[in-house]
Amino acid sequence: MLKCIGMAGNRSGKSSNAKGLWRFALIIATVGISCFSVTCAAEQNRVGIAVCSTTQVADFVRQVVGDRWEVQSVLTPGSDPHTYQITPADVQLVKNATLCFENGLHLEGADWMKNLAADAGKKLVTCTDRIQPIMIEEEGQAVPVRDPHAWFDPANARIYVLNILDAVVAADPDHEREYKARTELYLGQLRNLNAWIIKQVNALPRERRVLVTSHDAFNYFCKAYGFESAAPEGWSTGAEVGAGVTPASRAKAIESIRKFGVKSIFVETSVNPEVIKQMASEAGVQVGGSLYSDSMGPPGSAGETYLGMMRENVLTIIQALE
Amino acid sequence: MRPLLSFIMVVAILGGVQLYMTHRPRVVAYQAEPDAVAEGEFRLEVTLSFAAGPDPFALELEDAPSLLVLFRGQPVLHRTNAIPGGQVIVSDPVDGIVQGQNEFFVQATCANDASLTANAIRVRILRDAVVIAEQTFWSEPGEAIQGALNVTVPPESSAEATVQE
Ligand SMILES: [Zn+2]
Repeated sequence: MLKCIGMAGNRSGKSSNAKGLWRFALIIATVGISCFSVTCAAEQNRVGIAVCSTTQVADFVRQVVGDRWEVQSVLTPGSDPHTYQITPADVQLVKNATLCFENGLHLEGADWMKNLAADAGKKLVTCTDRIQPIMIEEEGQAVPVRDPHAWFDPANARIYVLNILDAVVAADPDHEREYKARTELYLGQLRNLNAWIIKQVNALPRERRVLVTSHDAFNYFCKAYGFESAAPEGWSTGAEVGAGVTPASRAKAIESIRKFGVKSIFVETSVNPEVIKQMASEAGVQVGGSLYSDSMGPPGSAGETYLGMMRENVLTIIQALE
Repeated sequence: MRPLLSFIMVVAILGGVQLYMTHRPRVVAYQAEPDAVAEGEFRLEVTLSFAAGPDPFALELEDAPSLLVLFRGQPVLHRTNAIPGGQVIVSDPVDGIVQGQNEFFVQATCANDASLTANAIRVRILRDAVVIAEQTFWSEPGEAIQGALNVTVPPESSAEATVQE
C-alpha cells in the first residue's frame, strides 16, 4: 500500500515537474520572442548604417541619429588615427555603409578614411568643415599645418554635430524633426560642459595652466580655456608628416616644463607613454595621469562618450596641476 | 436586508451629488480690469560689461540672440549681431508700460572669448528722461545672463518707481 502510494506520489511529482518545465519553457519562449521582436522592430526602424573613422566622430553621430541608424567606428578605443593601417574588415565595413564620416584635417594619417570611402564609392562627410583651424608651425616644415584635434573645444564639437545633422537630414529627410530635437538636446549638454569646464579651470591659478602631453593634441582645449601647451611629438604621432620625437622637440618640451615650473605632465590613452615617463624623470616632475586624446575610452569606462572623456580629462588635469 | 441597504446608500450618495450640483455657487468669470497705461515717455537702456555674441551652442546661429529684452512677451530689444562691451543699447520709446507692476525679461550671451570671466549687464528704465529704475544682472563664467527686472510704476510722473530685487 505504502509502495503504491509512494509510486503514485512519485508519478504525480513527475507530472508536476513536467508541468513546471513546460511552464518555464513557455515563459522563456515568450520572453525570447518578445525580445526578438523588439530587436527586429528596432532594426526594422533603422534607416541606414553610419561608418565613422574615430570613436569621437562615432559618438557625435550617435547623439544625432539615436537608434535610427546603426553606428560603427573603424577605430576601436585606444587606437591612434595618425598611424592606423586599414584592414580587409574595414573595407567590408565601409562597403555596407550608407554614409561615412571622418574627422578630416588629416587626423586620419595618409587620409585613410577618404581612401576607404572613395574606393567603396560612398559619400564621406568631413566633420571639421566650417571649423576655423589652429595653424601649427612645425619644426622643419615650410608652411604651417592645420591642427586636426578640433573636438577639444566644445564650441567646435557643436560644428561637428551640425555637419553630421546636415548630412543625416539630407540622407533621411523624413526624420528631420527627430534628428534636430536630439541635436538641440546635445548642444545644451555641450553648453553645460563648457560652463562646467570654465568653472573648474577658473579654480586653477593662471600660472599653473600649462599642459604638457605626449603629442600636440590639446591646442584647441588650451586656446579655449587659457592654457599654455607643449608636446615633444608635434601635432601627429605618425612619421608621414615628419612628426615623431626629435632631440630638439624633446629638449624644447623639457625647457617649457622648467620655464613654466610645471608640476605634472600627462600621458595619453592612444599614445605610447614611455617618452613622457622618461621626460618626467629627466625634468624632475610627476606624471599627472592619463588623458583621453585621439580616442575615447572603452565601453563601460568614464571616457566612453565625448562628454565623459572631456570631464575625466579636466578632472585629471585640475587634480594634477592644482 | 443587504440589497435594500445598498440601494439606500446608492440613492443617498447620488442624491447628495445631485443636490450639491444644483445648489453649488455659480462660477462667475473674472473680468480683469485693463491696466491703466502710465503717462510719460519711457526709454530702456542696456549696458554690457562684456562683448556679447550669439550663443556659441545654438542650433541655428542666425536666429540666436546676443541680446534679448522681452516686455509682455514681446521683444523690446532683439540683437543677433556681436555687441562690443560698454556700448549703451537703447530702445526708445517703450510702449505699453502700465501703472503698477511691469516685468522686463533680460538675456545676453557672451562672445566665446569673453566667457572665462563673470559678466554683468546694467538695465535702466527712464521716464521722461529721468531714471526710474535700474538693476545689474550677473552671470557665472561661461553662462548666459538671464534675469527679470520688476518695476512698479506709480501713476504720477514725479513719483518714484520701485524695483523688486
Ligand atoms: Zn593626434
